[in-house]
Amino acid sequence: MTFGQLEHALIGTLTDLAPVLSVVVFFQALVLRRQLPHMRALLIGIVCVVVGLAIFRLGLNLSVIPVGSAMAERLAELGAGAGAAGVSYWLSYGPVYAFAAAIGFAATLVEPTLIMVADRVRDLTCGGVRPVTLRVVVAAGVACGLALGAVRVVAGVRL
Amino acid sequence: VTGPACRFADAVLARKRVQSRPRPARHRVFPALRRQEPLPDLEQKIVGFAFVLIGLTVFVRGLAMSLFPMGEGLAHSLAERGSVLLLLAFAFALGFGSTFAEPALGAVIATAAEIAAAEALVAPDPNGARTFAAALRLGISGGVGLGVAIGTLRIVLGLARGAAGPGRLWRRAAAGARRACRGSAAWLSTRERRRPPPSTFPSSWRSALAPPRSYGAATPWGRFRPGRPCERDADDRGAARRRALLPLR
Repeated sequence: MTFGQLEHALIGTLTDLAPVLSVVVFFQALVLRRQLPHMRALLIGIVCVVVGLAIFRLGLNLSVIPVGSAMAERLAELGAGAGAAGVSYWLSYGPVYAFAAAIGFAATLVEPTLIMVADRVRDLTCGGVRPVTLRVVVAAGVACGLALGAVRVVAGVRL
Repeated sequence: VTGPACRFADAVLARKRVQSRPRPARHRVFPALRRQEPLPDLEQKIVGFAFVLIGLTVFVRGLAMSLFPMGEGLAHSLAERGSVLLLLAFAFALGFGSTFAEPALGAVIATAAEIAAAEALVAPDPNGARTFAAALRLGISGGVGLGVAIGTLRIVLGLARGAAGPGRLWRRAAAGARRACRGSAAWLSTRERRRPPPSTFPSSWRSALAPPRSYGAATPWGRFRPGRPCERDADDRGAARRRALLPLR
């Protein structure tokens, strides 16, 4: 871990946030022509977003992504071994599908923006849609999609 | 990195391997766990997890301080202006912009362009691969933007409420289109564009766009206009937590 990595993460975060910020600033400045109050709090918040996202991405690159790819590689080796032993070739990758579904479910469930959006949906619907319900449904959808995608990759089905 | 923490983890894992315990059920589900090889660079990974936690905390806090109230006030001002076209343009721009710069999408597109070049699906020079990547990125971003815009239009037309069976959906679509057509004169004429009469709007316009917990409250963007009161807001258990998270409201 070096400061070069942190710098890289910061630049990446800035380029990610640039379009969203420019859309908001464009509409605020040119279309609505209204001065933003609480400018200091807004600027502090934006700096928090950039720095937090950069640290988050750095942490992901250091820990979660290597662990995940190592696990996926081991699982794939396992499936390949079972496939060589004569089990039906795409059934032998069962752990890979389960891993894909589990990782998709978990990653979507803790997605920070989804948590905030689910809170907003709860407020907008006056409590009609519970945030946990929304998050679990979205996460289940992502899990199904990832598992199906893994099956497709292994079985070699063309789109 | 081979530090004391790594050696400690090695020792723990080695000790575990010697013991002959009955296998936990999770080892039958994920047989790869059975091997229990020590993770390389354990210290780096622990530091990385700490970074993830810290970064996530700062990020969510900053989001609640800046981008969320900013976008909310902006969307509210746009809704008050009553120009549906402007609202749709905003929705499209937001969806398009945020997808266009998505780093995960960039990685996937780079891989896709590599594969396409290897399979000779595009012109063999690097320019062909670049054109392919740009077209893919533009197409995906445009699709997301269109999706967000269509979703906004759906809310405006009042199709977004209730269970969506085919018959019910069709009835609601017809009613929403009728109401939209009745109100369209108000949206189009320059004199009435600033404040369309509320009766011409679908009823879900207000309920969908009005912020339930700040009725009449002073906000950074002036007073929110009071709308239909929210019944559950009084005994909302998450309200205190959100108030602590959102100092600007």
